[in-house]
Amino acid sequence: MDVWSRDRVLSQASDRASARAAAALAQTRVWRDVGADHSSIWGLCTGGTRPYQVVLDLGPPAAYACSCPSRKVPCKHVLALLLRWSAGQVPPGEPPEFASAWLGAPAARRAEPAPPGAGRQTGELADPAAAAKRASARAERVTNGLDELDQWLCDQIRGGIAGLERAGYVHFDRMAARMVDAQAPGVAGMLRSVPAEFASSGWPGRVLEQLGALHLLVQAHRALGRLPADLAATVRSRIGYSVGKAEVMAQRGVLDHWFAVGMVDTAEYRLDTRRVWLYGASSGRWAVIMSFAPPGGALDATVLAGQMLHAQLHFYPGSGQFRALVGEQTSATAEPTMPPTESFAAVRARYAQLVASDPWAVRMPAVITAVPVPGTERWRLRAENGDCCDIIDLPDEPWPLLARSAGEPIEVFGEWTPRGFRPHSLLGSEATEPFSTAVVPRGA
Amino acid sequence: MAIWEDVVAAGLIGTDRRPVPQHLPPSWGTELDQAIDPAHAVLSLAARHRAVIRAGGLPASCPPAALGPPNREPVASRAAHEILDRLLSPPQVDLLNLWLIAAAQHGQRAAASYWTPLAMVAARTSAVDRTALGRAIGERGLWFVAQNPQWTRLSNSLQSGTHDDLAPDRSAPTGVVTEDAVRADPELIMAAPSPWSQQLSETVLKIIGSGQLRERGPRYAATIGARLPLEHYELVRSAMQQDLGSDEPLTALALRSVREAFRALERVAWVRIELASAFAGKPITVQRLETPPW
Repeated sequence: MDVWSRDRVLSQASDRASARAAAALAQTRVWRDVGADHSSIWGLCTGGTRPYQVVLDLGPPAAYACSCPSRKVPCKHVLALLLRWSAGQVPPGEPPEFASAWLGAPAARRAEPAPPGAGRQTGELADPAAAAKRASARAERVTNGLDELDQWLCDQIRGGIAGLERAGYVHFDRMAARMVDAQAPGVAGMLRSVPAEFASSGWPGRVLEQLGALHLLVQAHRALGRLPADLAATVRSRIGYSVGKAEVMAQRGVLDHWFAVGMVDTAEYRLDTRRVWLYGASSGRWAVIMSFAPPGGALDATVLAGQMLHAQLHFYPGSGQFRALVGEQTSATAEPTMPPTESFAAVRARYAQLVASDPWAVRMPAVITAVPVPGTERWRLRAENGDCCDIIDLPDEPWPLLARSAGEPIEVFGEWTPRGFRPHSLLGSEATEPFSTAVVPRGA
Repeated sequence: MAIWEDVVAAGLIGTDRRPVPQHLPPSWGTELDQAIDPAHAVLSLAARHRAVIRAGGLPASCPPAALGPPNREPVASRAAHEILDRLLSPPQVDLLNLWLIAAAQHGQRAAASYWTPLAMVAARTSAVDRTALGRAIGERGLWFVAQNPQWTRLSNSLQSGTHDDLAPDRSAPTGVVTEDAVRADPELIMAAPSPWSQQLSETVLKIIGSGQLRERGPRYAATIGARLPLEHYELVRSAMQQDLGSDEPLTALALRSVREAFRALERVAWVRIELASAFAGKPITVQRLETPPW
């Protein structure tokens, strides 16, 4: 077994504080019964009332156990023992009983959670070499899949898209399934959304635009190495490369009082999705918390529309990215700060910036002040200067909007899309006409 | 957009049969490489067009919407709306009517957020008091209901009912009603002038507790709950206890019916107490009866 470098050991730390604490601990005289054989390391870290038992199986995959109650994964004791081993400060030997019992247990049993209060943490350590190998294999599959997609796109255009509306969903589903195999689920989703365009007139232009967006994504993937890091992250995200939660949580958090301005649950191809939009009172930043569940499954209800949250939000990497994870929360309270309202022109300008950052963006949060205008075909929102947009994607007619407005401008939060505006909530702070998420009749 | 139409035509018919535009106006950015595969050219131009339309499309315009009349009546308190929330989910029409009547009597209105669910319930059942609803949503609310073609019948009935008196006044008592008369015909209590005397209240509570009304008991009791003078609410407690300690045991069926009746009476009376407090902006001074563990 090759001895790990100091950098490789420190790369396992969950944060800088852990790395610093481990480096300091490795240099102290608290270690007893330390030893290593060809595949494992062990030691007792004294200093408290009871010594902590630290054991490492160097794998692969590398795994560890420590009897300390720390919530850090891995804890500083594991890292410190690895640092000592890395520095040649661990003599060879035979594992003592506390180590051999754990090392001899089946992997599944090792992973079992310790009983409450037992103060034992276990886990696996990252293996950069294996991870790099997996990433490389995936990149190759995605590249091959996208090459195939580009060929397919060109075939559609060479033969002409006239008649595709009769081929319907199956034609696109087949290629989408191929993209799922190629580990490009984001591309599969884009493909599956194309047939919806056939339902209304003017579809050839819109379908062509969608195919063009897919083509652009293929081109961007080919140029991934030459793109700015942020844009490259966006391209990877649109293709469907997953980003580990740990990686996201490692991003610097944005601490703020976040108000959940609106939310929507949608069913998209065998997956229920929830988007909860948050607005930061101090940062003025928008964020979206997303959760997914199989059809009928329970979606995450940690944050719901109308709630306030004082927390660190960690944003996913990428330009034009709103998606975030909720990190450390505090009990600090504050009155909700409503996001500022924008004119249609300002919303459009902001959307243009979003398209520049993320050409595949499909929606953006916005608050507009406008009058709902009922219509037999479609409802619209009209600003005082006469600008208007369609109200889209609601399960029923938005009568509660008209009730609040009665022909006067109201503040509506929703998602701005190139097709129109999808209202999610009515803003307001009055006791009797408060913030409300009822934009369509209840039960609709 | 002539170029875009040409691009769409090429994509629709196929680049095998139709050429791609060779020269682009400056607004389309850099010229395409002439050596590029025509299919690639169409896809690239489509991607450009998509970005331009999304980033730089012009806003649509539309004529202004009709303007409703202003709200004249003050809006009811948050406490009153919390009760309304409860009565709407799921809708309990008898209690909803009490809310609407109370709002109308206090000259207050339901907040606009409640007009849609109220109209939906009223459109489904004629049991909702039209006169009270019309008053409780005000002139602006009536305008709102009239905007929805699916509520045309409701709108017409609301408009025609706005000048009517409220329900309790329409059934104004006609004469003196004695306890003996009520004992002989329990329905006569409805003709007694409000507020009833304590003796009358005790009489009707005894009638309910006796089980003599059988399956009609709960419905009768709910009606009593809607008329019982609120200062007689405490009498319900002793009536319930008397029921438990009845000398002449009731059959299981009759006992169930009596208990159901008291529950119905208490539920309605308590909502009235809550409404009186919420609309007057005063705290509730009586303690809610604990329903015995029936």
